Amino acid sequence: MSPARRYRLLLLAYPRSYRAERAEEMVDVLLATEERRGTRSVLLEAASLVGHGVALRLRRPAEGRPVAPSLGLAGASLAILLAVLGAQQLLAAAQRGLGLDGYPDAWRLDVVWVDPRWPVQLFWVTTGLALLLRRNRLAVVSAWTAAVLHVWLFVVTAVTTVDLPWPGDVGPHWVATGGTPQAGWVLLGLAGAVLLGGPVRLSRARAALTPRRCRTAGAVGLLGAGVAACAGPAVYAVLGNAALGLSDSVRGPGLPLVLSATVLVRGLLRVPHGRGALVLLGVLAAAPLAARWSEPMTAVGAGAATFAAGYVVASWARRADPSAPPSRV
Amino acid sequence: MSKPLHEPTFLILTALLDEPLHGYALLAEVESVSGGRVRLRVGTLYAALDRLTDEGLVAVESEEVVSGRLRRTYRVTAAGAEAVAAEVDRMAALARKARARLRRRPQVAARPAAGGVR
Repeated sequence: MSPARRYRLLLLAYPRSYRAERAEEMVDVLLATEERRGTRSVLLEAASLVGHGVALRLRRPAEGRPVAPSLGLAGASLAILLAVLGAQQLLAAAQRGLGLDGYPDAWRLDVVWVDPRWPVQLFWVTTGLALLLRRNRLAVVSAWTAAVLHVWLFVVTAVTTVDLPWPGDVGPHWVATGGTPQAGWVLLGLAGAVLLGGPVRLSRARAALTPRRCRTAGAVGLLGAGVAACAGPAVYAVLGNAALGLSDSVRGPGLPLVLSATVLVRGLLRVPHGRGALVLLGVLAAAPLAARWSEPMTAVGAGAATFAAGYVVASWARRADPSAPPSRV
Repeated sequence: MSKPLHEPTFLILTALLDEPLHGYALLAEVESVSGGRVRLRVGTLYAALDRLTDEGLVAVESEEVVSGRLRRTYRVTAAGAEAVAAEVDRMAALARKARARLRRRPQVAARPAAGGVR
C-alpha cells in the first residue's frame, strides 16, 4: 500500500465534508514530513490523526448518509421503553431484596442480591432521564454503554453455558441469567442504541416527539411499575401458591411496558414519520416475542435481519426523496 | 483580559508573523522557533489551524495546486498578531515578577553557565 493511500485511509476518521476540503492538503504535508519521522513517530502520527478525526466528528454536527427521521423517532421511543423496563426491573429487585415482594421469607434464600444486569438497567434509566432533560449526548452515550454492556453479558453467558474457558467463567453462576430469550432483549438494546445514533439524529427525533410526550410515557410506565409491584404481592396473598404464575406475571414488566407503549404509539401516530417508526418498532418487538414461542435464535436472527433490512431501506428511501428537508446522521 | 494562548497556538501564530506559510513550512518553522523542542503532528496542526481560522486569528492567504495536490498558504491576521502581542506582554510581566522574587532569595546560587557542570 502506498503511503498516500495509507494516509487517506487514516483520514477516513475525519468527517466526509472535512476530508473533501482538507484531505489532499493534509496528505501532501504528511508525505512531506514522512522522511523525518521514525517508525514510532509514524504510529503516533496515525494515532493523532485518528484521534483528531474522531474528536472532530463528535464536535461537529453529524453528517453522512441521509436517513429517515423515523429511525430517530423509533430510537427515542425504544429508549424510553427500555428505560421504563430498567426502572421496573430495578424496582422489582429492590422490592425483592427488602422482602417486600410478598413471598414467604423462606424463599428469600434464593434472593439474588447482585444481578449483573443492574448496570444495563441503570444505564437505560439514565438514557431515559437524559432524554427528558434534553441531554442528547448523554442519552446517546448512555444508550451505547447499556447496549455494549448487555452484549458483553450475553456473550459471557453464552460462553460460560457451554463451559468454554473464558474470563467470565471466574464469576458466579448468576452470570448465566440470560439464555436465548435474553438475546431478544440484547437485540432490542443494541437496536435502540443504533437508532438513537448520534445527538443530531436524536435532536431531530425529539423535535417530533415532544418532551411532554416523553415525560408522559415515562411517568405512565413508572406508575405501571408501581401498580405491578403492589398488585403482584396482592395476587399472591389472596390466591396463594396456586396463582404463583399469575402473581409473577402481574409483577413483571408487562403492565408498565404496555402503558408506556400505548402513550408512545398514540404520539407516534400523530407526528410526521411516526408510522415508519412504528413499523420499525413492531419488527423489533417481534423478535423477543417470537423467541419466546419458537426456535429462539432463529426468531432473533430473523428479527435482526429484518430490522437491518428495514434500516437500510429507510436510509435509501430517504436518500431517494429529494423533496425532503436535509437530515444527516 | 484575553485567555492565555496554549503553547502550540502561540508557536503557530509566532511562526506566521514573518510571512505566510503552507502546512509543511509551518511545521518546520514551529520546530525552529521552539528551538527543536516542539514538533507538531499534522493532525494537531490542522486542528489548531481550524480553530484559529474560526476565531479569526489566521486566514488562508492563497491556494495553489502543486503536483496535483491543493496547497494552502496561511497568514496571521491583525487580530492574531494582537493575540501574540498580548501573550508576549503577559509572559514578560510574569517573567519580571518571577525574576524579582528570585532576586529576593539570598540562598539561590548563581546559575552555572551552560555546559559548566558535569
